[in-house]
Amino acid sequence: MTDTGSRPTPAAAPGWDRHATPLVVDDQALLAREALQQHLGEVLGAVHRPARALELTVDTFVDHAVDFAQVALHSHQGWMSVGRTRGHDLVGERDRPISRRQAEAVRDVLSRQAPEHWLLPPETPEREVMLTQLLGESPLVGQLNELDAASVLSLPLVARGRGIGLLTLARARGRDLTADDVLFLEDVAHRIAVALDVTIVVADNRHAATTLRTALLPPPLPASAGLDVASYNRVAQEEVTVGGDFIDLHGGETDLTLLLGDAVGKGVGAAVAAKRIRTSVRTAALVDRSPDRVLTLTNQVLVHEAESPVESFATAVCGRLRRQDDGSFEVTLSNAGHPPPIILRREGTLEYVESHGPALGIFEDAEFGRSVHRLAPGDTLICYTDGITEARGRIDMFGEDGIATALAGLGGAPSSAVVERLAMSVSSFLGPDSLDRDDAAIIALQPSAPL
Amino acid sequence: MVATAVQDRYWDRVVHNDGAGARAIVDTVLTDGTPLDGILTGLVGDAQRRVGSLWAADEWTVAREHAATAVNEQVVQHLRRRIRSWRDDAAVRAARGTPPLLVVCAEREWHALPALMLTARLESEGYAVAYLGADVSTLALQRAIADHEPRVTLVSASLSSSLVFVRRHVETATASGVPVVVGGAAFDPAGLRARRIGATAQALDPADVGSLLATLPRRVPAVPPLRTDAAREAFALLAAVGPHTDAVTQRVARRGGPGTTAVLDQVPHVLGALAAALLTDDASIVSETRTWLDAVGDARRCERSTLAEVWAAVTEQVADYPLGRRMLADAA
Repeated sequence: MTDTGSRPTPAAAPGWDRHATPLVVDDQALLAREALQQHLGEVLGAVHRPARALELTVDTFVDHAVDFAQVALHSHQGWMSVGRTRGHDLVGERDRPISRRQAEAVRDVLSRQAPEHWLLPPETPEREVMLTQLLGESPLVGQLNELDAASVLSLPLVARGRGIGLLTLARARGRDLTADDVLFLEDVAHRIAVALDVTIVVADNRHAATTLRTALLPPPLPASAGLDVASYNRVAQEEVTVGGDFIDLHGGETDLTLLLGDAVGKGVGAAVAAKRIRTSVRTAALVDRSPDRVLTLTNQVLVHEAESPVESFATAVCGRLRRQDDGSFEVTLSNAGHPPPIILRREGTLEYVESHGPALGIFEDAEFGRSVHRLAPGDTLICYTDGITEARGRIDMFGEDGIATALAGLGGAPSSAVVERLAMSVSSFLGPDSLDRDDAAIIALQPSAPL
Repeated sequence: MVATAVQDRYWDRVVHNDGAGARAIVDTVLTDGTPLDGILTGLVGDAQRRVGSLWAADEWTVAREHAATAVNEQVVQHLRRRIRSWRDDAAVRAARGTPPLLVVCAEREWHALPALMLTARLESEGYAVAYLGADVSTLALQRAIADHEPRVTLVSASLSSSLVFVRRHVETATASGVPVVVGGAAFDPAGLRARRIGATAQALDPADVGSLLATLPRRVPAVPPLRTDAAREAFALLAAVGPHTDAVTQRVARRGGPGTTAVLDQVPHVLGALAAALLTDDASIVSETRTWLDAVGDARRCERSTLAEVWAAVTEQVADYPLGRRMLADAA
């Protein structure tokens, strides 16, 4: 138990009657009960957004049951509260966090986990003090005074055996809540507490997921004066927003390491594997820039680290792009079991760069070859994952034919046009609402004409 | 405004896929004091109109259209970077202090340039904008709303066949209480389509958006589900757009002849437009699509009998949709 003697609590404050009896019976107030229950269901529609769920809760109570409602809710981000008085706008307390005294008052009610029906003193400074304690320094205090409410009902919101917040309700003088009203509202508060608890659980999980996702996402591609770069990444499991396809481009302006690949699986597990591969490649590239060496070292890391080949299996293309004096790039490519990169020449012909070795993460002693290509201004190097070639339409797969068709006429076009046209073609090939999606990634790089 | 000579020089760079050259012209014009609006409409907008009419006239392939559009997009992204570098710190702080605006395209709407131009304009007016680009899924929109807590979502759609997908965005955003402003060539000036899909407001012109924002409610209720028979037909039609497209293509393709392939490429759009007409109860979408498809066919010397065959095949496909059938018949 905390020591409550040193601070005024609602129970200890003079004039507060914790067991006020109903003052006036008002049958009219009962008529809205059905509407109240019906509309509270809408709160769950905002399950991914607690602030909105609070607004809907408050609106529903004020529209159908009472003249004043405030709900305060506790989550990992601290307290948030929303209140509204009939005839006034919503008052959100996100910009102005709940005060310490108010939090203490709320906690006090919560610790008892029982409704409190307070009789308010008439217009005295004490009334102001009490309302401030319950509602915080808020326009709501003045609004509640305008209602001349005789009493205030505090209902703890309890879910999973834990107090998560407080619902405070009031009616204008002359429409006071009856004992029967209180029983009914207590029951409603219990159910709304379960709904609001769900929104907190979702928000807390989302917060954790966002933090992890941010750590897994690759950094934005660097801008390079001599290279026009565009990329596309669509994840299969959009709910988790991360996947196993990875793109990375790093190094200086004139000597870059390119990596594009596909770790086995989908979703978070695949994203963790992808992150491991990106990190290994970045580390290996610090030691030796040659892409075949980079892949050889990365492969050893993957084989050694993995508990089983099933979790380490990945395909990837690694490249080193070195800018020449004439604005062209010398491109050294090494392909580990990955769909062949394509060089789209300025005049429109396509060249495929075949594989130089097995997929990563399987054979400890795997060796990778390499090939060297020249990329002149207007030529475009295109790497993609099998989410593009193996996109399943109604009859067949998108395939290399699909790529060739999509790229027709795009020789010399900006990289973003190449990437967008490929992505668009795959999307229309899959049709709307296709559930059979894989992760898909594309990168296109084109030396700019020398200025 | 921008001089015709500058427009022509800019167009020449766009034609040659020369993003750096196009950016250089824009930089010069900016330095000469041309306002952003003049550049967006006078250079980017002007070039994009030329791109569109060259495709329509069958002088340009889709690939060339894409390449040229990409140059225009690069230029607008360049302008956004310039705008961010101008904005003084106080303005940026003020903009950050208010909830941002969310600018998105409908799912499967790949015409990103209008939304991108709107974003640049709003940023130059001092708004904080989160721009999500083309083809935004409802899941991505939902996540962005949770991440950014925007004061309003602006949904851009150029094709009438995107309207059903715009409706999904309206449902997603309003479920979180966020007002939705729609705009783009997919909408009629009278605002009928926007109202029918439940948008909070429609922006007729990008320049109107700023003043429109001040009139919007802070929160809106979730739009009620569309339960009309027409809406049910629209969703059913869209769900089966693949098989319907295949059937139409099979029936018409064997006729061969010039322009047939280009016309058949538009069948998914035609079916999507019919779904949109059903959803919005606006038959003018069907007649507009008819007129447009005729023009596409004519420019490619497609025989009128082939075009008639396309519509006959579409009608055959919607045999099970009584309201869709009636809408097609009315527009014939």
